[in-house]
Amino acid sequence: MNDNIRAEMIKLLPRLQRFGYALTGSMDQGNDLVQETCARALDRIEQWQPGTRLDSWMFRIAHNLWRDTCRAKKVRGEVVDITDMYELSDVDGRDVVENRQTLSVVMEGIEGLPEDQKVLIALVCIDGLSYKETAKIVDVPIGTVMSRLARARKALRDLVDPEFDIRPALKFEK
Amino acid sequence: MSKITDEILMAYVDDELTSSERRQVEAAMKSDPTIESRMAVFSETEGLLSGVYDEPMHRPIPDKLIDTIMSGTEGTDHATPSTGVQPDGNWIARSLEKWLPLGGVGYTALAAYSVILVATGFLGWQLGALNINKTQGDNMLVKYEHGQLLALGRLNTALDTVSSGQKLVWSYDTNADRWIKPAFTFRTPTHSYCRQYQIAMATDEGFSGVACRNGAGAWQIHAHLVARPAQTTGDKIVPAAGPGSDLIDKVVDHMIEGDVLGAKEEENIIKNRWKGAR
Repeated sequence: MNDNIRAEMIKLLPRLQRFGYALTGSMDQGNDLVQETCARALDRIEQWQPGTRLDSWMFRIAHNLWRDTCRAKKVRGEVVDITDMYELSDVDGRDVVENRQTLSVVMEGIEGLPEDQKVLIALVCIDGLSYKETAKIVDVPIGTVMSRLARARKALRDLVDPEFDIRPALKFEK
Repeated sequence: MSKITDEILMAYVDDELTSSERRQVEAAMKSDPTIESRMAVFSETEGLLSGVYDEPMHRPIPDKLIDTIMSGTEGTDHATPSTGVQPDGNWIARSLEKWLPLGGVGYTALAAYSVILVATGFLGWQLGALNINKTQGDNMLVKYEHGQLLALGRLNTALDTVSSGQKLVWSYDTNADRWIKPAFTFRTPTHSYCRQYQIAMATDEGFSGVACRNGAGAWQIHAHLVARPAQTTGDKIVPAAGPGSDLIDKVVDHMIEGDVLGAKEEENIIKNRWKGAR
């Protein structure tokens, strides 16, 4: 029984949940993924090297689990109702509409990305991890991280028109 | 840097370049006006993506996740990394600030954090102050000292001398019963003694907590939460109710080694002034 590790894991939950949400596109599925991740991490706790980062190790477990899931059955994220998710009621009305649209465009855009790019967006742009740490988590060279991430961001940028109200259909070429 | 690639521009935005690399990019920017617009792609996406999936960060952590961590079995138990990772007080303060205004849903979050506190033997004074600020002056039941929340006054007396199930009763301004009752005593894997206690401040207001003897012979409080006090009807004791007491039970489950002490054993330990405790 190791109290410190469990405590650290609990402390990591919000970040893991956000990561799970970004990968799966749904909070429920994301939480399921996090739950599985925690169970597996505890089960294999002897593989974690004390002194190394627990967050990276758990992100890696989550990522591997998700990749396995995707490979097994080509999971697509559930359709998420953006209006239910974000209560933006006390913001200026116009902003609300624009925010929602941008947000939904960005989220749909991320969902449409190939998995190997999506995970990089989640780790670098959303969680704020360094390229180096990210490369370790996804187990690819740092150069690959950079080229994939640049590609993903260019694709997302292309989606979000500065006017962002005249693009109902979102399609990725690749 | 002969050619400034998109990757390098992105790394510039993400602050991933060395200072000499940064200078090269900045120099190139002066001579090549396209660089700035190419870079804008990355700085814009940075802003666009921040906060996108933050929704889980603004909600209480689901119980199932905490349960999984607290009850999950470890593959081996010889792995005991002791890098001393402790949640820092600021983090706890920030977290509590974030959750407490949520009112009704705050309990789940409190649950999450108090499990942290307990698991690392650190109780944020915020949590203590939050729940105990009604006791003042000589009614103080706790003090915060050297990063530990310690039992004081009547609480200390009750934990030291009162048998489980008995109440230390006092009334100080009304006729309402106010009492402290150790509920049971147990050992932890590190052989210190701990007691679960209940405190009634009014008929429908009370606290439940867990305190353990520390090395200096004081009672260190590991968890302390709002819980409706237990009711005694005849000889039957109706356990304390409310989210706080459920949580305290979880805390005990997590800390206990073996069974709770029997009355005889406990009596001897109290008589011996808790000697034999670590």
